[in-house]
Amino acid sequence: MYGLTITGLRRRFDISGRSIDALDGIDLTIASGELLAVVGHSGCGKTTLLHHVAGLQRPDAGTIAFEGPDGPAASARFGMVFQEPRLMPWKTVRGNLELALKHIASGAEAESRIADALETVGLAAFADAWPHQLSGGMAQRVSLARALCREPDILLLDEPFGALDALTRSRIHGEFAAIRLRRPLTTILVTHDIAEAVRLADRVAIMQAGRLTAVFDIDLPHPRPLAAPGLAEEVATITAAVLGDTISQA
Amino acid sequence: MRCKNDLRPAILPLSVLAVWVIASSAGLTNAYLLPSPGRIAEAAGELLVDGELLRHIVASLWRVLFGFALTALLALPLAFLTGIFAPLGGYLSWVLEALRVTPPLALVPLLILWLGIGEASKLTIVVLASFFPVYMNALAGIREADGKLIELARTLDLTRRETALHVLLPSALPGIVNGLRLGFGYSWRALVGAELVAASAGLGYLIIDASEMARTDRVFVGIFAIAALGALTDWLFRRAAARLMPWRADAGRVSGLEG
Ligand SMILES: Nc1ncnc2c1ncn2[C@@H]1O[C@H](COP(=O)(O)OP(=O)(O)O)[C@@H](O)[C@H]1O
Ligand SMILES: [Mg+2]
Repeated sequence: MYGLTITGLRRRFDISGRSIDALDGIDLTIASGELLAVVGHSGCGKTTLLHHVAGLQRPDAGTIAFEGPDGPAASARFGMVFQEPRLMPWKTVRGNLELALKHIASGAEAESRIADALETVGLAAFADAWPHQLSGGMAQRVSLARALCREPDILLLDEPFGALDALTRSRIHGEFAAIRLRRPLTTILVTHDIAEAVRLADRVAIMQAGRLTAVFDIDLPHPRPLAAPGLAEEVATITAAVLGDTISQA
Repeated sequence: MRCKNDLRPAILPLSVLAVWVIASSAGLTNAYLLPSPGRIAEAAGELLVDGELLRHIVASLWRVLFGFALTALLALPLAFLTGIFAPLGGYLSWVLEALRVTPPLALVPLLILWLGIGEASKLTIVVLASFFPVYMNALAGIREADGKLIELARTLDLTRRETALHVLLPSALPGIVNGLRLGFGYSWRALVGAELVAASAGLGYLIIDASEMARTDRVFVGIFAIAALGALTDWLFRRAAARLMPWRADAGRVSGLEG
């Protein structure tokens, strides 16, 4: 399990002659085992931030430093869930998870990890299904299982539950919180569901136009059912902060 | 909609056959221009019994299969090379384009001059006819590989080799299979054309030889043999495609770019 420190991260895109600062100087520290939720309007740079942490894109400026159990590390093992499932259509559910374990585990060890991960997302019965036989929500749960079975140093989740129906989402929230109680897992969760952020996160950061404009500590005890005392107030405060000017002008 | 026991495709050929039988037994047809189906069946029987039909089928099939294997060995690696190292495709593009638009049969006189009327000229025709559909469809398949899956492969720490094996190859597979299927059809047609011009065995030769002997019945046997073998190999291809790509619900019906 790793912590990470992001310093002065910048990334500019040129879209038909117009420059967009998708990351406009991000400074952020995430402790080992912490879950940070990032919320913000679409297009504010959340996906770009995750891609930079995962090393899929290079920043124009700034650094990302990882801190492992044995000190600073150049990189880390990531478990990533993209906005869409990204399953290999030519592999079964099991095959997709096996591929994710390629350099991590094989044989009986891999089998038991795959079984555990599928159990966690409630899809134990679908190990031999083809991706095209799954609903969108099921495919996204497989993609979460694929990230979890790697036992990553850092888990990166890009609106992972957005496509799920409300009931499944609520159940997954409970299970996900339980997984992290058993075994803390450094996580960045990008979401536009503020209630989700408050239920799961240790801290919630608000992102606007490439910058982090505010960070809220969520000190509520787990588990945090939707009706937990204080949860609604946190959601209201953060929603107001995200909407910002819209509210004050109203 | 087509289901397993759909008989609709059989209606037209069976009706034509019925009209044919009736017309020829009523003496309405010229037996030289259009022999009766019975006469053609007899001719097929004779050719089967004396082993001639089999000899010609084997000669043609051998050429197609051997030439086609050469094509696959040339076109698939080249498609992977140009698909992965894009600049290479740039160097080859004019040459490939010029060869692509030239009908292989236009090269037959030259090939006979260079290679004689032996097997080499026929194999070359087969390779030329099938190379482009195989190459271009495979290349399109490789180029169409989903960038998002390649990105995913990077987050899974897969090596380049593993990415090629688990992402590029399977995404190119429908294109490859489709190209092979199209290419096989093309080489089959071109081969028969070449055999009409220069050969001493093969179904094309059977047809031209029978025609010169005024044996129209045997001409028909040759044509039907070609059609049946073509349909059979195409069916085998579709079966193999479905086997090879169980993840594609429509694997048996691949279609797409023509070379
Ligand atoms: N590869 C890219 N090329 C050009 N512009 C991009 C690219 N990726 C993201 N952007 C731009 O960067 C901004 C942030 O995008 P993104 O990180 O996807 O936002 P979010 O995930 O918060 O919705 C958007 O304005 C988007 O248009
Ligand atoms: Mg996004």
